[in-house]
Amino acid sequence: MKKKQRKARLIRAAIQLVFFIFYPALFSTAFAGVKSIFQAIAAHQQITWNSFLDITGLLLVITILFGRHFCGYACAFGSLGDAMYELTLFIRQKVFHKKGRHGYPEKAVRILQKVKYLLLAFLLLSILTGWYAKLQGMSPWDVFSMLTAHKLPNASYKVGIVLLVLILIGMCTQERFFCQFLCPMGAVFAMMPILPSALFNRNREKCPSKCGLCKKRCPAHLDIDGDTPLSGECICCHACQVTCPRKNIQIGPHKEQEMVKE
Amino acid sequence: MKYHSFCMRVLCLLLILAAVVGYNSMQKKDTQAQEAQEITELTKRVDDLEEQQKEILSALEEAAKNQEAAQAEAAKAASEKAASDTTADSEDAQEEETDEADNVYKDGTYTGSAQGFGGAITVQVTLANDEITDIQVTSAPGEDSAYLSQGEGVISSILSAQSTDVDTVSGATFSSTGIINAVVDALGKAEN
Repeated sequence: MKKKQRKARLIRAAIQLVFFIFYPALFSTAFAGVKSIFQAIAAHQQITWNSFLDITGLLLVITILFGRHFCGYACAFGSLGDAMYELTLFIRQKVFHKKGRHGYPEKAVRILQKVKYLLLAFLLLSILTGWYAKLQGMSPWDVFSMLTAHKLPNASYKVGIVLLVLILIGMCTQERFFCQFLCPMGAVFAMMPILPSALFNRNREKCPSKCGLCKKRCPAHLDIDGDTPLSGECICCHACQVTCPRKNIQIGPHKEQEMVKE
Repeated sequence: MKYHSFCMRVLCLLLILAAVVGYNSMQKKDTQAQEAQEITELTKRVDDLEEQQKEILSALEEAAKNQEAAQAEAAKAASEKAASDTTADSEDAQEEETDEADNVYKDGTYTGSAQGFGGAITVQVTLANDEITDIQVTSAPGEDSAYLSQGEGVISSILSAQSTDVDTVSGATFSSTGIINAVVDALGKAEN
């Protein structure tokens, strides 16, 4: 079982590394597409298709059809979060001999998950009111994309640098800290109607009572149960699937799959 | 209902898409109405100017019957003035014709480069009669393709303004600034 988990984690890390090196800007490009729509409205212009919206559209369609696999496997900022968290785990284990995966309690996670919607609303409103120009240099994403382009941000990015450092610290304290709590693009993804056939389902009848390993392991502390009000929060990391000792978790509705098997 | 959340989200997405389409069609109507208004205003101005031209011509004819040579010259000047008032383009064309002797830039194709987001952007600027006729980005290795093609929107503004003093493209500030500066660099090489 442990072997299988490690293998799944290594494959995921390898895919994340490839995307981090070759496509580090996808997430901010996708959000630039969302912003371009609101910039057009703010300027009282027609909304026209542009190269940012190519990426936004592609990622949204992929998300609707196959779930948020982009977030779990391809987003450079998400991968950065995973790296920071895993590094902290490693240090905790080696230096402080603490076992288990640290994180916030479920209640706190639920509340903090709402913050990203507020942030998205704030950003889009500030674009509409023309306020956004004043936020120049405050975006931690800009600083991150400069660093991935091997360029040092100058002094006008002070606020952005400080925010990026704070986010990096946050990433160490909770798995997928930024994605769950702050990412405005994550908020857009979470609102998408992901097809029920692309969601993780659990064969509850086969689960022993009081197991809950999947929920404990899930970075978002989700009840794995197909289509729920919170199913948009799933970033398709597949951790629940490989953690379940009974292999009760699969993508797509369970009953149909069993019927196919029979 | 079985897929309650999914259905609600589909509904929300459709509402958002409908809002975008609705906004676009409203905006289209607005711009069309604006254009129609501008056209009527312009035609009115042209009509007025034509009337003025006629008046001036007839006045000149009456006043200077004897001085035929002088009269012809005056009429020509008046018509030129009226023509230049009606459209800005003809004025430009005339200016170019008269200024041909002392051009600011040499004709030809010049390359220039400047810093974009992740490296140098190189452009090729084609000049003819002091007019920028074409701008091509020849290399931009450090630029993300989506940002670069968005930033290339600045080229059409440079071409239509015939100036590098144009607004950058929002969302692709670095790439468009790089293109502008590269064009400035190329123009510097083309100076007479």
